[in-house]
Amino acid sequence: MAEASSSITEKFFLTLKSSDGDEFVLEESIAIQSITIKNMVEDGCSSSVIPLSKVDTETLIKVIEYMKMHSSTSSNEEEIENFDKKFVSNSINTILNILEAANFLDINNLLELCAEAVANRIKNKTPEAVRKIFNITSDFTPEEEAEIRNETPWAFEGNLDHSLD
Amino acid sequence: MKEFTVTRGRRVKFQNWELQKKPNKSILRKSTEEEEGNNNNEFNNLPVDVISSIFIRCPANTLSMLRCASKSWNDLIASPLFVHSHLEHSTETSQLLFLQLNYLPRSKRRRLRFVSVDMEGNEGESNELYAVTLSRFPCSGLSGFHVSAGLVFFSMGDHRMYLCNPVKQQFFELPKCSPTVFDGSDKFGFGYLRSTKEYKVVRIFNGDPEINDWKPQLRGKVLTLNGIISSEWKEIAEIPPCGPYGPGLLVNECMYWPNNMNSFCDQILSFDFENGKFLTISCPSSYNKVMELRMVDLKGILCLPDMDMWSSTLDLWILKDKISCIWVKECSINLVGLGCNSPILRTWNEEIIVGGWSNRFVFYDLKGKCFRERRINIGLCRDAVGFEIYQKTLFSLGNT
Repeated sequence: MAEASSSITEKFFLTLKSSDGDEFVLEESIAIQSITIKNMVEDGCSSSVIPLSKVDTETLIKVIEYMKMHSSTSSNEEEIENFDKKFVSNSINTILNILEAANFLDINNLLELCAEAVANRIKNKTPEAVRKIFNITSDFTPEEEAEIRNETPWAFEGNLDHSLD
Repeated sequence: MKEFTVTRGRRVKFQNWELQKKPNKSILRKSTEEEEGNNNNEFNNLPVDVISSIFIRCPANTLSMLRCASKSWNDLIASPLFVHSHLEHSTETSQLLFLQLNYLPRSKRRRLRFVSVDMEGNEGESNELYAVTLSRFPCSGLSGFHVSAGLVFFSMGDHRMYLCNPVKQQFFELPKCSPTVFDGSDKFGFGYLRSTKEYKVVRIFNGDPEINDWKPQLRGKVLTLNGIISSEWKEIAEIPPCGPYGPGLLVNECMYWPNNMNSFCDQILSFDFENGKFLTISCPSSYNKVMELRMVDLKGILCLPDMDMWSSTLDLWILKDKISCIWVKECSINLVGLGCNSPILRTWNEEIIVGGWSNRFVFYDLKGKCFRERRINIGLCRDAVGFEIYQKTLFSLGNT
């Protein structure tokens, strides 16, 4: 079956190499969801291995999982929806890594999905909680911070989220 | 174990990443300590446009808190470039903004309060955004207010005009516009222009109040606001083709006012903020003209609701083409049993608000063709002078 279908429509494959040196072979039609890769293919730079120096193996696996699920041929809408839901439940650091990779690879819907996911996680979070989540040290003096708070005092009232998840 | 044996591959090259011996590189083997040490930079190492793409999806209250996290975040969120993109991205949920004007008898001042009501939940929560005490207000009330892209413009009976961003607690008096005395025919419009990222105010007035007011010498002036309020009112070259009547409505960067030619209006005056041109639009010929003409913004298109009192049917006419005045009846809504003969009518995403009584609002879903009701905690907005659909913005009136 597989042989039969591939003999009708010629399939091209690309090899992507992560920053850890791992190589992944992927159908071109799936890989060109990345505009960066698409441009490389169109410029004829894809005959050998495509090095992705900014994407580590763990992240690249996630990105490939995503691209395979979202390639036009394979999945139905419900599957994709469930996949996306599960996808964004990865740890925040994983999502940030994927986000950076999506930006580098120029995969717009992946970028949007992850940006939305991070935004949802920081919605209504207090500055203290956000600092802990992202391990940020405040570089404000207490007076400077108070000044910024006073610009929008209403935002610090009501249902704030102090949790760290 | 993950497998990327590629579908029906002929040149399949499968790498088992768990077996790779690259202890210094693979993230999987990082100790917890290293990971925590790395966290520190994880977020701030992202390119600025990626951080922006996250922040742009956060509502204004979250952004206000994120500003306190660090200086670099504050700089990004407060930058005019980001504020404008946030405005245009518009994932900010719509709210109702109530304006309340109280007289404080002891100090003889007036207090203006801005209360936002979130309509997403079952019980709309009201939240006081901003309250300002206005000094030395000579016995004058609010003569009108307009909301566009998060800012509130209002004119008072004493000929002063103000611009306010309740979110940022900013309140500015606008430059005077000559003639500084308003007569009854003065009408205002206010809108945000996406192309130039500017807010504009338009004033249409009788250029010579001495002349009999049934045929006023109409003129128009525009004030452009981009951050610092220092610009001057500019005369509109074109003379308004007919007079405006009643409060105007902003729809997709154009102002619309019913025309005052006769008691039951059959024309609408429009002013396009983009090209600075006026236009007269005829109402649909089969329009009932029973009630006072009202207009609604239906997802960026001007809509005329037409209420038939006898059958409690509300027809919505939309303006397909304003040059040739082509109107199409979009839908008819049966309001029997809802007890509203004078619908409020504002659009709300895919819904229109068809009625509001004391503490409840009725929404009609245009797609699902069904009604829903929301109660709101009216406490803070009792006796409000009016309300508008509103989206918060962190646009700063003090910015350049």
